[in-house]
Amino acid sequence: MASLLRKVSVFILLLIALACVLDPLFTYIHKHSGGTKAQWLNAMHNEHYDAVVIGSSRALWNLDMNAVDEGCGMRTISLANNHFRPAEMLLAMKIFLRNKNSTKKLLLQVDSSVLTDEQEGFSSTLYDFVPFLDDTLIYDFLRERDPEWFWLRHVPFWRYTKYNFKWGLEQTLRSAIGKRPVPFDSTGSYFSPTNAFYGSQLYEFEPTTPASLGADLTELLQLCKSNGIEPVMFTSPNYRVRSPDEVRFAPNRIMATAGLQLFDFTDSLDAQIYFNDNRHLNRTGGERFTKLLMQFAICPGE
Amino acid sequence: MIFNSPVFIVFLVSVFGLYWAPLTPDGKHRVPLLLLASYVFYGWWDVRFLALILFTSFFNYSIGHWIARAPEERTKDRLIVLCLVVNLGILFFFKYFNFFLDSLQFAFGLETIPWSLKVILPVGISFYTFQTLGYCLDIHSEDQVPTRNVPAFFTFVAYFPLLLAGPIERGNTLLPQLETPRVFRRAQVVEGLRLMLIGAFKKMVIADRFAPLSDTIFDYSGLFAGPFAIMGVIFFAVEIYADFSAYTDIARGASKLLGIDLSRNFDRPYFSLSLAEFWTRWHITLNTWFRDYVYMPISYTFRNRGLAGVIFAILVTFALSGLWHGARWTFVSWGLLLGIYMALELTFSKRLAKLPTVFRRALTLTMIFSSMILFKAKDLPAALHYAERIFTLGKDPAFLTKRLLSYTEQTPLALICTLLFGVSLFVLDGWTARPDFISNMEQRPILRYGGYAGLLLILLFFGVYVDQKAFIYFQF
Repeated sequence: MASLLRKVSVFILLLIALACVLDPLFTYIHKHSGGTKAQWLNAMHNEHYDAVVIGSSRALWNLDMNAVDEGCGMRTISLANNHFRPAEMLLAMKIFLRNKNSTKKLLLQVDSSVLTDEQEGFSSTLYDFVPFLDDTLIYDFLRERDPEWFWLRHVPFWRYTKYNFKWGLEQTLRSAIGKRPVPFDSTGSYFSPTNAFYGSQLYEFEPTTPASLGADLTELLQLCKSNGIEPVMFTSPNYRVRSPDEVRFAPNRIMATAGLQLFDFTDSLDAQIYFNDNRHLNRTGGERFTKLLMQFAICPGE
Repeated sequence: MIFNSPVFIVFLVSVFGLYWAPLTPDGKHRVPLLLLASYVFYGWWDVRFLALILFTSFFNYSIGHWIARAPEERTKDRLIVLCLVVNLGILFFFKYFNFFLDSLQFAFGLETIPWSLKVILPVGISFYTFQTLGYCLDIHSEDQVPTRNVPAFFTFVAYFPLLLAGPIERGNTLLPQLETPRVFRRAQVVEGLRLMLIGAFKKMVIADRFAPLSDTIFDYSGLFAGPFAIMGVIFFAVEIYADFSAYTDIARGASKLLGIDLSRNFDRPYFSLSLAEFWTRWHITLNTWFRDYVYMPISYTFRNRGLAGVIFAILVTFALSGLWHGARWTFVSWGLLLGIYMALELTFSKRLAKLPTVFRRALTLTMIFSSMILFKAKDLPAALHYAERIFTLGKDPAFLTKRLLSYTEQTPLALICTLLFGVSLFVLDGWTARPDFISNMEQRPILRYGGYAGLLLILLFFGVYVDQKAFIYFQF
């Protein structure tokens, strides 16, 4: 039994040693390369913008910040990211401001799914910030939400093992040779490359939890106030998404209660030719929506 | 507490340490410790489940003795009927009552049924109910002597490695191991660790990587059609085999650490040449149970009806086996479809035997895979729709591949790795099934340690740790 235990212990020790070597190596590579919004944001310092867009894929896919820059004569970027929820938006803005960046306006995409606990498909993407756990701002923010981040920070390599689909071997090797694809342009926009529609003729969205502004969005708005940033709320277009009225109009109701104006574009482009799926615009739809948002919310009258 | 969770590792290491520690002379603490550990393990899921398993253990222990002691055959028969009624009654109440009511409601077009129940399904109930039933049926047929060792019997019912999803053990294989002192054998522990490592690889690297692929294709069957729909079924076939055999490997491995051997449940099933052979190689302990306690008695009863009697026994057995899997018409239909395939295979067995091996294997896999649509689909209309999509020409394959990658959030390279891991499942099966596998491994330390290190590294870099799916067979 003793020799068996000795062999198993040696194996475990070798594994721990390997993890201790790989963890700083992976961290170094990811901190010095790009490919995700979190890396892009962390590398951004002392930049000054007229407007910043933030939100989920419905902000990322649907808006072309280059067109905004041209059309409004402004300097804008998009911090929006796939699956971003209020927690990620808040953290992204905190990092943005901590790095001495500034903006006059914050264009915040809100809709029923952002305002409830339920969002289709995937869980929170806080793991986007995995390589930056030695950053106190990020670590404290994450640990406050889930004590597991303690282990993710302190158990060598556990963070890269757990989130290997995002920060795994392939991504690390690609980053090391500078070949990790960057799914957004220099303004942070991802503009859908296709006009194909692959949604359905009826998409039912009936969350069971009630919509509310939530602590993260409230804090985000307070952050805007304390930094002199004008928040502009908007809702991106949908195609045949059916929800009960209390869900459909939750953003309008909640923003009105909070004394905020909401530019509601939910039904503004209700035709299949503008969509990739029921909740994401295609290239043509994105161009139309970008113009609409410029006309009504970003630079009205210009 | 699932097998692929850190808490289970801590639990198992603690049990292992205490189990082999010289706490009592002759290791008398071991079975009570296993019993306690099993109740902690089961209670971890929901402490209310313990009441049920305690009742089941107490009832079956008692009735086993009553059957053995009964002076007349008639009394024995009455007692075994009581045993069947109580055990199957509990199973029916927890697992099938609402299904039965829903079916009644649908059949008679009723709007509501006032007496539907809100009961939680205790995990593993189908497994331990069948295990205890088998014990009593064996006593009734005098193949088993009832044990007098109460802790051993209660552990037999609740033994944590097999409690949630089998293997369904027989009294005469597991009880003797619980009744006699276990001796620490290094080879057995090493084999246990090896099995657990292979099980973790199968679950976290193969099953959990294939699950999003099959789920996506089934969920978006309106989009994926033709070859993609066929791929969806194949992905599910790989997933379910990797998932369930992983569970069995970990269960057997954990048990070997405690000096107790559990039965094999899989023997390279997808290499079978016929359906009949497949059922001797897939979920072996359940199919043996159904063979001995359902198929054999029915076919014996109808032995004078020739082939018709055998086919009737097959259909009933498979329909019940389908129902055992879950309280849904899809599972009953799945069982019946397999029964029909089996009946056809039996009818044309002589002609089929003359076909080339490759063709027979392909035919067997086609029958198995096509039945899996019913197993996977959420209801019968969804299964029919999916089957229809197989014969529909889909959209551009490049577009569908992009959609599949996008929905599952995989890169093309990650998808290729997943497919290669799927292939490795069968290579690994081939290696480990060879009779000289263990001796070869023992003689080649570089290969052995290299293999372990390789599996660990693959687990580290390619294992799924987020949104892990529970083992599929936990739902049964």
